[in-house]
Amino acid sequence: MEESCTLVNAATACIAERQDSIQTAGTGRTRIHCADDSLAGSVSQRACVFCGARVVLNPVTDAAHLVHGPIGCATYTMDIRGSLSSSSELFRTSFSTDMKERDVIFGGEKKLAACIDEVVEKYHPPAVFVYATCVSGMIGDDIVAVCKAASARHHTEVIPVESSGFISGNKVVGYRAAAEALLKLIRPKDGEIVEKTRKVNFLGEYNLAGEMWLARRYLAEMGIEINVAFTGDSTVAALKKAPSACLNLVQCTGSMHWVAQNLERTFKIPYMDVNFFGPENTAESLRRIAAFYNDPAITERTEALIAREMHRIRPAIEKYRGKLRGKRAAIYLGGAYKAIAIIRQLRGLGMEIVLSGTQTGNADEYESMSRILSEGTIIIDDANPAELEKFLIAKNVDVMIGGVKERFLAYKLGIGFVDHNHDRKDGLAGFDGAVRFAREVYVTTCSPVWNCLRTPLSGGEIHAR
Amino acid sequence: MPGEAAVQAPARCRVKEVNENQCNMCMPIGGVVAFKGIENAMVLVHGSQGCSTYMRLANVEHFNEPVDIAS
Repeated sequence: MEESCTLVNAATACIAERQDSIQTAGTGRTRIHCADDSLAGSVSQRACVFCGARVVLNPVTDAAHLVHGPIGCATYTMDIRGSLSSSSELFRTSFSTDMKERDVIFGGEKKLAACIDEVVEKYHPPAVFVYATCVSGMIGDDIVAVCKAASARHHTEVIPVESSGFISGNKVVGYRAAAEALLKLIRPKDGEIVEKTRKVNFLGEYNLAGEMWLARRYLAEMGIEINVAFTGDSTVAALKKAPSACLNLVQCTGSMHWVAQNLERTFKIPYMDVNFFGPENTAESLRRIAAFYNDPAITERTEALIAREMHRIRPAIEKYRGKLRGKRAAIYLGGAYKAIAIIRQLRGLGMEIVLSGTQTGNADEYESMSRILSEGTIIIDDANPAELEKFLIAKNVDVMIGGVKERFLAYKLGIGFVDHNHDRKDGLAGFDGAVRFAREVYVTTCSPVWNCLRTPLSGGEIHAR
Repeated sequence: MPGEAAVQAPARCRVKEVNENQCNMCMPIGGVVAFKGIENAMVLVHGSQGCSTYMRLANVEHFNEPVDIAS
């Protein structure tokens, strides 16, 4: 362990091997250890490869999602996203092959084929995604062959997603598996030519609580149409038209950068990183999209939209900023890009960020994160609850932004909490979302309940374990 | 009644293979819940990381308490 650390709150890990994954902004010159498998036994907050694939593909509304594995894999990922659909609700139905001992010993291919037949006969979906899990991968089921045969048999798309969990402990690998499945789906058949339009694709937007619809409204006002979102409220037919777009907007970079790069290579569609978290980020993104079109009319409409919305939300934001000034926030999210956006948004509310971490950030993202954070902020990759707890107490945090698993950890420590995970049901994007986010941060941070809690009870400290 | 079941069965009389909208969980979570009840016990799931994370999630949502399960 570092002995030269002179900072009072020098960040040290609870497990010595994890020391390289924790950094203090401004002091650490070394690169953070990240984008690697989790340390065994460290109680990571990450999920598995299959989950990564599932969260990316699940919002494809009219496809059937068949999980080839034991029942648990399907149970825990059943309807895990807050994605909304404007038409089919088939994606919310959970299909599993429910592998049992017999299938593990004798192979599950026959059962999988029968399951695909049943699903297709009953629902006639335009596409079936078949997910491989640890068990089906381990026993060597050839899901690719089964899917190919089923596809020919039913004249429908049956697409294998190779997301066996043991490949890696990192969700990013699952994003890649999903991306490969998506590319397989949108690849035009031989001789088929997709005509180019002036529309945009919105990659890495999952229509959580209707956020995609909000973005579509903004863009429509600017005079730009969304071709298809990947994969929020998308249909198989719409996804197949993806190559016709003239620009790809990438919001969730972790899951969709690779898709964007591939689309650029194959279909010559340039891509651009955008995000709609916080008023400044939204305004900047809209301006950049408008700049791409290089059309004075679009630019004019964009500026009018931004000016009107900014004027509308300013009083609300000002009110919360006054209440939240100087409060200390911790961020622990899935992707680094969103974390950076949230850092900016919280700064806009006058708050101070004292801890920032992600599950799946890569070295470059951490680099840019550490650049915008002030000195002394702890940066952490793939944290475990013990470390989070330690730093939340050490840094005297007022509010934490994170996912479900961190919620009660924060509450038990007397810290406010805002859910910014992929299963939330509250839209936090765009101008209206910014107000809603500010309100959520305010109500949890300044909740009077913490005053009751912080009065030491008779019999010891509040944080006694 | 046996007669009724025969009428309702599909033409091919095949056992339904696909599991739709399951309401059961997998086996390990039962063990995890049981051993979590022992004070200061730590459960270690020997499997993929997702397995332990999902069980934690299920426990956290059910008990409204931070729950640690190692992988």
